[in-house]
Amino acid sequence: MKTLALPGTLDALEPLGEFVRAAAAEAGFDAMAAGRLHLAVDEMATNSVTHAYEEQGREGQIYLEAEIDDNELRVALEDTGPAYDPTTRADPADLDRPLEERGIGGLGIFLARKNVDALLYERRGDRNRLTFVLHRRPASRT
Amino acid sequence: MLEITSTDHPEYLQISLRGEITSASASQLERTLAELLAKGPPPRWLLDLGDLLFTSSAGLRVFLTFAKRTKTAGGRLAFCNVRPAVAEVFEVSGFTQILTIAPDAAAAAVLLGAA
Repeated sequence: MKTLALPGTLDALEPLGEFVRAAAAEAGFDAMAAGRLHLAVDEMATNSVTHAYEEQGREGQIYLEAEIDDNELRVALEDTGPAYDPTTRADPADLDRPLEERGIGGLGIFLARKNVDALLYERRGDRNRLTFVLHRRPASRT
Repeated sequence: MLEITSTDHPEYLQISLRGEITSASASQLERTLAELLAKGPPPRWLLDLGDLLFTSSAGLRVFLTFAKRTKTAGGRLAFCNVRPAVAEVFEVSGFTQILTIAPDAAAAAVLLGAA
């Protein structure tokens, strides 16, 4: 298992992207699949930084893990913010609306869920833990 | 990392993006586009995404805001050279229906009425 701890600021997003893409490459995923996973983790890490830390006026870290077995790649993202489960949020309802009626935002969690095979939440001690799962089957998401 | 280059053409202003748009770089793009709009907006804009490798919803938010502002200002906006990874995010988010997207700069110029 590989791990990485980063400061809970937006500056973490660039090394986070490199970490996730490296894990995806190691698990044999192509650039498109790696990009989908990167997007999912980036969205939820942005939420962690803004909601768990910046809006609370707190400092903290985000913690990444990547684990590969025969069947899947699992990337975990943890923060020490207040308990929050994003996996229960409803999808935006305006995805098919014309330009004038489209809301700004609300897409992050939707994109995170849409771009992995599973997105799991658990509260572990003082941490929110999100696990992003990609199944290792050839051409699984095309 | 995001690099933003603007190039004047006789009929339109081209803005080329290189790198990645995350929440860390989106504000830089938002600021640049707002400054260009404030300068006395040209009626026609081309956003060349040929070297844009990644965008999160933070980038989508900037694009949507800019598309709305351009429209309100009576201008035209087209995107071109969108790479597959970014095109997929546009598609999933329903942006393919609300943005003008052309395969390349020449086709975009036609859509902008500038060819």
